[in-house]
Amino acid sequence: MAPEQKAHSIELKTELAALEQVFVFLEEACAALGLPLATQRALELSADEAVTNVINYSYEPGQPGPLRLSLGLEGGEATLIIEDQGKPFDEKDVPAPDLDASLEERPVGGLGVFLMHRMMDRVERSRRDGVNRLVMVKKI
Amino acid sequence: MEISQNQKNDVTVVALAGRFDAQSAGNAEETLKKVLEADGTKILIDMSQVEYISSAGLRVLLSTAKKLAGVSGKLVLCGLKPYVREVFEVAGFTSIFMILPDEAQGLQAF
Repeated sequence: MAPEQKAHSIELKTELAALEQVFVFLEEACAALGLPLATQRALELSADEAVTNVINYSYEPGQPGPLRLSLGLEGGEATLIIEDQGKPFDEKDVPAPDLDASLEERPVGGLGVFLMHRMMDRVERSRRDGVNRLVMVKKI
Repeated sequence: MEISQNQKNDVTVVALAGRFDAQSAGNAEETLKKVLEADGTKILIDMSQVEYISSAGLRVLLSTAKKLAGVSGKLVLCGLKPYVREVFEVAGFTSIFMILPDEAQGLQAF
C-alpha cells in the first residue's frame, strides 16, 4: 500500500472551536492507524500547540483562514503535517523557557513550541508559495 | 471545561473538569481573576477532573501563581492525573507549584 493511502486529513477554519475538531480527528485517525495511546497523547498536545499558534498568530485577529492537518504512518513513524496560509513563523523568535527559573523569574508563555519539541522526535518547518508547513514526527 | 467554586474557611477551592486548553483557558482565567479581585489570597485548584492540559492552561496557572505571590497569597494544586502531571514535569512546573494528592491534603497546606 502506498503511504498516501494510509494518510488521514482534515480541513479546518482557524477558530478556537477548531481545537475540538482537531481532537476528534486525531482520535479517529490514531485509532484507524492503530497508534498506541502514548503516541496519540503526544500528537494531541503537539497538534493543539501548533494549531493554537496558527489561530492566534498566523492570521489576523478575527479573520480566520484555512488550516489543513494530515496524519500518516510509515516505517514505524507517525507523521503529522499542519499547513496554513498565514504569516511566516520563525521559532527563533520564541525564546526557550528557563525550566530552572523560580516562580518570580519564570516568564508567562513561550511553552507551546517547547512542548512540541519535547513531545515529538522531529519538528520541521518550511514555507513555500505562501504556505507554512509544519512536519512533526513521532516514532512509535 | 466545567468550573465550580466553593469556600472552605478562608480558602477558595476552584474545581476544574475537562480539557484545560486554549478554548477553555479564558473562562478559567476569568474565574481566578474574580477570586483575586474579591481579595481571595488562598486558592486551591482541584485538578482531579482535568483530563488534559496544554500550554494555554499552564499559562493561566502560572500567571495566577505570580499574581498571588505579589499579594502574599498562596496557590496550591491538587489531584493531578498522571498525564497532566507528565506535562507539568516536561514544562518544569512541578518545582514551582505546590502540588498535593487530594483536596483534603491541599486544604491542610494553607
